[in-house]
Amino acid sequence: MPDLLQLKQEIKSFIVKRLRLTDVSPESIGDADPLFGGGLDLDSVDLLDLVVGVEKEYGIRIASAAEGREILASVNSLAEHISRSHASA
Amino acid sequence: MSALRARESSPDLFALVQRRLERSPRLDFLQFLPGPLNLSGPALLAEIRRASDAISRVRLPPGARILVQISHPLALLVTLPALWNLGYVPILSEASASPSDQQSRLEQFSPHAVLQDSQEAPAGSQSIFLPPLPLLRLLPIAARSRLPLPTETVLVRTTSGSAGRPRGVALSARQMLADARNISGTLQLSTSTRSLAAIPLSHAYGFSTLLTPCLFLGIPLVLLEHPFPELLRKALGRHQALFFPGVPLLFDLLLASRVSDNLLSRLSPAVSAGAPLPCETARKFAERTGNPLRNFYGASECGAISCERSPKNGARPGGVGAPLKGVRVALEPTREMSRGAAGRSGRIVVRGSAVALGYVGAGARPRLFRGRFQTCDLGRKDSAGRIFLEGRLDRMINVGGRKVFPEEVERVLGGAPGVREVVVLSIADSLRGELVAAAVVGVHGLREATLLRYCRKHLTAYRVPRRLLLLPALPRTARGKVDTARLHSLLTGR
Repeated sequence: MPDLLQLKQEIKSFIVKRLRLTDVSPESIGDADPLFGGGLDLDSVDLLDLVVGVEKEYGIRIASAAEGREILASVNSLAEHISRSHASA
Repeated sequence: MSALRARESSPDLFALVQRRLERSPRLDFLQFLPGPLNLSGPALLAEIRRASDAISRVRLPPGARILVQISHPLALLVTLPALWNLGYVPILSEASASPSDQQSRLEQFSPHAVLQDSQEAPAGSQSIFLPPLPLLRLLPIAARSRLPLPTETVLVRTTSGSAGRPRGVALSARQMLADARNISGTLQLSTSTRSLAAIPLSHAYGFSTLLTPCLFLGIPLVLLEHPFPELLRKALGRHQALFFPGVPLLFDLLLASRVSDNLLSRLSPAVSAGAPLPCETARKFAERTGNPLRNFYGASECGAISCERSPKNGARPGGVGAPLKGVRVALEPTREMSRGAAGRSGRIVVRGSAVALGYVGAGARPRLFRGRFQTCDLGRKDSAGRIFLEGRLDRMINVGGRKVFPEEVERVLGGAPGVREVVVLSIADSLRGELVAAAVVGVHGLREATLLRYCRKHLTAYRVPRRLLLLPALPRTARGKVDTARLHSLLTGR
């Protein structure tokens, strides 16, 4: 399991690749930037795409909108959740 | 103009819902996930009555038109019959509309009030708190004139109109019921089957295939807050077979998810609408689940039209199956087709008791359909009466007086080696008026020159795209449809 810093970089690249954000570079995404309702301009299809991707890539199962809002709030929140869930696995 | 008549027919609709729900005693008639929340028919009816009571605290005139912008599926399922119970006419709109779109809808439909699940409380609004539903807000709207509606209107659907102005489609109780019966009769849905709702109930597709069959015909429902794989697993883990209407994008995501093939095979019957179903998606679904993914065709103005019914995967480009029970489809010649395929193809015209009353808009007299809806789709029928869509008359590109149907170019380009997705659009040209342009998603290394050579081999010169753009993915809207406005800017470089 990579350290948190490395994991965050990996997540940024994952988001850009998964959502095919051709005009966004991973480096331009801030750790605390809101993923939804922020500068990335993501919509509900992106949310579903990301939920499917996060489950496939990191084994994180998101079962409600509330959980999704919490886990996918930012790169920080997603990285922390992945880190916690892998540590307890 | 017709508020009185609308008020007279609405209680009948509510009486129908009431009878159905009273006769649906099973405790899990409605299952909501993630809850989990199970409601019997009578328990759901009790929730609807509570919602009616809460809404009735705000004084509105009889027959009031209420713009409904609710994204939460359970809240929508409860509040629509609650409004009918009060004799109000819901104007069903998208909850995720931008502020400017919302303003445009207010101007277009001049409702007496807006009912929304906004967390913010606009000034003058009343809160409607019905746990476990999200907090709803009812905001009365002052206006000089109101939306004129045809007699018998009990619901107005909003649909995207031309020039970006939303259009209203007025429906009677009889039409909504006919649509629900046409669908359930054809797909053999009944009180002993169950449907899975993962698409928005506020759109015509989800409304007709899921919401009205549940409320009017008593077909049990599993309602998902979102179509997340984990919620799908939970729903499919509980039931052996679920009628599942989806859109191609949703099927693609499910096939790419970690939901097992065994569970996916319980999506049966599975139908796809909302966008053309790629043959590849239908093929993968059939291979993985052993069940066909059936192409389903309908329109806001006339409800469901046709559906593939072959027991095997018979998905063919443009194939949307035979008309549903209760629906009559004719192909009428158009001027555009007179030179070429006249006799084989024509404009698809739908007749039947599910055809809506007509178009409505503020300040204008309703445009009535009178039981016959002329679509903008061009199609043909095979000897078995199955319909094949060939193009949209309103998408036709006029290249210096010569007509090009984008679908034809899309079919040719879609058959080129390495092409995954293609969209053909018109771009302006000072000499010819319009030109053919194409956006293509393909395998790595695919080249524009190769595709153009392929087009020149298979298409007459004026149909060959003058601009061709290779993209890593097509831009899409929140509904999952191709974002043609964005695509147009990419193709024109503006």
